[in-house]
Amino acid sequence: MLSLLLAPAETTDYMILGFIFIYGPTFLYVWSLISRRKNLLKDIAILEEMDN
Amino acid sequence: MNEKPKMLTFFDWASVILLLVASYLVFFFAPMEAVMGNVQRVFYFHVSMAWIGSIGFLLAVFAGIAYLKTKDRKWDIVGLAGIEVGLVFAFINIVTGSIWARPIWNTWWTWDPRLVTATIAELVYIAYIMLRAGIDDPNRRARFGAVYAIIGFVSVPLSFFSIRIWRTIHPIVIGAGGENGEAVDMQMTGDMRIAFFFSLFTFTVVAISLVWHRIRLGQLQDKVEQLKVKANM
Repeated sequence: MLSLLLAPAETTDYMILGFIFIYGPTFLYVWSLISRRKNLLKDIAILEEMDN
Repeated sequence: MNEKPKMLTFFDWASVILLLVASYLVFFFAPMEAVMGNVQRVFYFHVSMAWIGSIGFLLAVFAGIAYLKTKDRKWDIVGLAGIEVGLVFAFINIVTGSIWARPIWNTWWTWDPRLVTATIAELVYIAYIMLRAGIDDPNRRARFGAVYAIIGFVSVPLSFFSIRIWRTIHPIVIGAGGENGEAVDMQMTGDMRIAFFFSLFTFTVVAISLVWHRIRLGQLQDKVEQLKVKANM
């Protein structure tokens, strides 16, 4: 009984949830940077073609 | 403009490697906290997110001052990059804080001064993104962005000092907390400190890399805007 009281709280589920919300938005933001860059390069190519 | 600088490639690879090492330190090197258990491991990255968020917002202040002095739009691009990256990390900071709070404080949210001021700072910078999107003239937009970034930064030190000024249940990580119902400081072992400071360093490198990429994106956006104006003439 005493060993149960002295043991750390079982909070592994919350740790996993926490790291999902750390890695998830970080990689999502990296993906958004790559995606937006690709779209802008496409736009530039079209606009430069129109200009010529 | 399209060619990626070698230094940026270096920062990208350094970010990936450092993130892997930091994750190892957090999950396997740092000991489990005696009372809170595994959820305490979130704290190492949670504080790093707040640090990077604040640095991003501070960068926007310097960029804002530089823009108002020089009227060079490159500073507007730098300011926006700092705020956008800062917003992402500040958001993660608030969410991970809430996840940590659920088992420790027995609630997802409480009207604690730190939580409230951090959320206000996040909302201030979300408003920055929304408001500047509504301004068509690039020079007016840059001027607005510069002034807003400088004034809006008031919310950042307010959040940092909130746990030192008001009564709060939020732990103090930097500097000791008081007794008599004031906030308490985090008690970290040597291994915990290594994981903590390495995480701070890692996310500083990650943020440099991301801000640099966002600046390059801003330069492309600027070019598209100029080409569109030219095409409409």
